Amino acid sequence: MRRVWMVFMLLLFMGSGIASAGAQEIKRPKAVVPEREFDFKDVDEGLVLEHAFVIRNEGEAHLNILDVKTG
Amino acid sequence: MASYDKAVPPGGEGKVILKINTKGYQGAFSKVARVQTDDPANEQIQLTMKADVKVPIHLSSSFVYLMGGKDETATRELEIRAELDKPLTLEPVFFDLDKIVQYKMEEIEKGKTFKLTFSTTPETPASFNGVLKLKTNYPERPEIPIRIRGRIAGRQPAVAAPPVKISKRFVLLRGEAGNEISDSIDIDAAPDKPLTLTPANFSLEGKVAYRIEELEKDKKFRLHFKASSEAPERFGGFLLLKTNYAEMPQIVIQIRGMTTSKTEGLSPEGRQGPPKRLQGKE
Repeated sequence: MRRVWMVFMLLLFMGSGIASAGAQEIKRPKAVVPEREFDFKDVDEGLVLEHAFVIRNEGEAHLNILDVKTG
Repeated sequence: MASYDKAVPPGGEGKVILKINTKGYQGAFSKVARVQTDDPANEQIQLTMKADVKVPIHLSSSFVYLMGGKDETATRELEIRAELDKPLTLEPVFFDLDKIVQYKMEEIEKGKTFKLTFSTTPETPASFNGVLKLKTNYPERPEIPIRIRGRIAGRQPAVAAPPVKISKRFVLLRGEAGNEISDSIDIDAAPDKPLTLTPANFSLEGKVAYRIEELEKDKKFRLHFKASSEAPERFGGFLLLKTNYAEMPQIVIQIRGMTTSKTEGLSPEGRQGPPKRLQGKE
């Protein structure tokens, strides 16, 4: 009887462990870009135009910018 | 061109900086950048920069391509429009497709709009490539080059114009110090093609003097070289001339010099001819 009780307790403990791991959220980054387009309007030919676009990370993990391709 | 922050901490802010040169552009202009991130919901973010590039003179195209069949006349039009509030004048100053391509320039609106019409001729070869340069009165854009290319099916290939004839490419200034040490080179233009020579680089300033004598206008030239009295015993250098020939845009003349004092005299080797290292570089 005592052995059955121990097995029951062990199963209960393992079950609660699995349940708590399932409830734990995976932390992810979340990229938010408030402005995706910028218009310089009228510019003289020959000028070099430069603009800084902002990328906010509203997630809970580091956001990595892997590459930027222009073309 | 782009520069960017590689990592952005949670709650933080990163930047993607885009840089674009508008040289050579006109009118509506946009550039797109694609940003790749490790956010599964935003793996690729598209950023766009837009502008309306103002030019003093607007060209409907800076390039003319004429394509047609053997017995056809290929024609293309190009419009040039003044964008500034002052009258524009255009003057053709260079055209290297004489007889191969015909063009006419019409002033549609005085001082404002011009139309250029290019067409092939019966003499147009199978393929061609050239340029028309227009001089303007706008200091903001003093010259407009228009590239002209084309392909006519079934025509004979163009006969390559003979290149410039150069009597020699080496000048050897050798002699006794105190005496005149000089040499000359003749340069002949290709038949029916005027030649212009423009000195672009000379590495023996102060040691050698040179002048370009035009024996026959745009056709025959003689280059005179003379060692200066201050020239060292041995010297070497070059004269680089730019030409108006696309097939030979520059001519390089090598110059070598050996001066000896009167007491020393020339070495026996020197009397027999130029040293071997100076030969065979044609």
